[in-house]
Amino acid sequence: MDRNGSLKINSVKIYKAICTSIMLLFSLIWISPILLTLITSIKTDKDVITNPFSLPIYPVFQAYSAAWNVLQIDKLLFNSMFYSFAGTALAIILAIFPAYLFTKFYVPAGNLLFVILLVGLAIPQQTFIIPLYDVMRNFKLLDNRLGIIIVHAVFGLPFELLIFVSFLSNIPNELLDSARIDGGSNLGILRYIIVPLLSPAIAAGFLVNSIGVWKEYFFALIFLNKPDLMPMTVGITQVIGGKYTSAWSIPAAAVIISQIPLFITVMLAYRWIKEGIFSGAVKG
Amino acid sequence: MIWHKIRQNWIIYLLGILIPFVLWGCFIGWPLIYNIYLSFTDWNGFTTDFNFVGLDNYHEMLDDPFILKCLLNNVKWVIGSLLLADILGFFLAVTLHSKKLYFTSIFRVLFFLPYTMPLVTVGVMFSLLLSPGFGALDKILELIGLGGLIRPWLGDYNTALYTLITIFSWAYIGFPLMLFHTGINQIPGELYEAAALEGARPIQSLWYVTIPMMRSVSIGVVTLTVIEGIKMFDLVAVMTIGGPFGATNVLGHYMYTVSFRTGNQFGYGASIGVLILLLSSIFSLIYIRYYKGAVLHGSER
Repeated sequence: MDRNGSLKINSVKIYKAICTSIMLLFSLIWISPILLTLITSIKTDKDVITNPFSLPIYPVFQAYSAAWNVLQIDKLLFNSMFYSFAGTALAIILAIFPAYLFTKFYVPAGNLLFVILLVGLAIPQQTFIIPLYDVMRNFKLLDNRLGIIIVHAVFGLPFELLIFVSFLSNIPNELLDSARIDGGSNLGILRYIIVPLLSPAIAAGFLVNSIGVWKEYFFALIFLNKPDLMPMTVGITQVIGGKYTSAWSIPAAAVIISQIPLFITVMLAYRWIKEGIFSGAVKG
Repeated sequence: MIWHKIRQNWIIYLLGILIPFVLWGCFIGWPLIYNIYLSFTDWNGFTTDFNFVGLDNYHEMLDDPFILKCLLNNVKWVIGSLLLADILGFFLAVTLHSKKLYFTSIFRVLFFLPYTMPLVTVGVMFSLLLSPGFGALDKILELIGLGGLIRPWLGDYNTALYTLITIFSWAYIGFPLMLFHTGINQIPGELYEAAALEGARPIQSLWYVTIPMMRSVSIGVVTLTVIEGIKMFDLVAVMTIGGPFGATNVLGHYMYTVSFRTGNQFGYGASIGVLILLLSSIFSLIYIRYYKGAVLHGSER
């Protein structure tokens, strides 16, 4: 009896190990484009052409310094980081008030107003980009850091609003009522009760939206023309179709450098990102 | 009564309605409406005066062979990414959820990594991997004896679009996978136990428990994927600029080309924008209404 039991456990373990190895193989093939790019980036161009897959015996990091200098990657990284952090922070500040209002106060035609606020969430940019370009020009916001931050904040607002609203509607009203009886003002309640309670949602919303802004290309392409202001997505396109196509390792290195911040973020904060995407995209 | 309440809490109403709606009006509402007006004009983007030309832009669209080609490509893009990213993502989520694997959290992160790459970076990366003659894909095919399949992946009129759709799905799959996996995790385990007690095989509990329970998540994932396919721009702009001979052109990119890159035909571009709006609005409405209307009902105040 005992022997049979342990035998069974072992066979289950072996079965799981086999399944896991198959999955491991499949997932490595799946991300092999990234791995191949990584290998390419640490080889010389001659080495890339003669044996593209082998690991280099002596990894060379010239391509990284070359890419860094050619593209001025420090500037691009700074811009991307600045736009995603500042745009997202502004979106969060703007979204906290309507989230509090729509969940905890009576708003005439509240559902309609709420849905209108969400329009920016799922509308293709091409449907309003021409007049928006004009608006930005009239406000002197073209080629302007503040301009791109405002645009990202306005279009990040609906996403943050959704996350906050779905979080806040689970906070019992009694909690706020008792604070009000104790003499708390609305802004005081917001500051000392709502915001601390919301902090997990704020963290998740911050991560997801920053990644979204970092990945964004269309707005940046149209609203920013000065090389000094370009984010990573616009800057990195310079490595293809231009002067550097013969050098394999430089574009590969650029791809890897530009991805390192995002890969590290995902590996460290996968759980938060998952929460944020799920409650922003489908929970309802 | 209402006015009294609003006056009492005026600062919250001010910050919660007025500011968001002023921003919304300037940057979303007004541009959306004004774009429809511009589609009836011949504005070139720079002069202050332009003419009202009625339906001319729409007539031009009917005569423009590129529009039909783009539309067809968008349809292919949507169908292709639904099949490759959403359906494959669903089955991957089911696989990762089953108790037959170790280290599932590592696999989830691995499959999610491509989704964190900007499509522009994805485009640069695959331009390297697919470059004719030296690209890694061709070398791999040679190595495993499938050299006959080698072709100019992005230069061949017949395959270029499918290459792009495959690359897009590769990059996008992390999103449906993550949502489906989170959704499956929220299905109560008792449902599966009950199904097993009634003698359901795994495939049956997938069909009768998992899939029905995933209805609302699926609607969200599918509508977002469709919208993504309708507005596609980044990958095309970086990898092919719509070429060869318009084989990979899509509406979102063609609109950009005629208005910002070559033509300065902002009026015509605006009318393509209206077409994109018409195509996507159904899905945007399904997504926004069906989902988000429900959120507020939690609080009756």
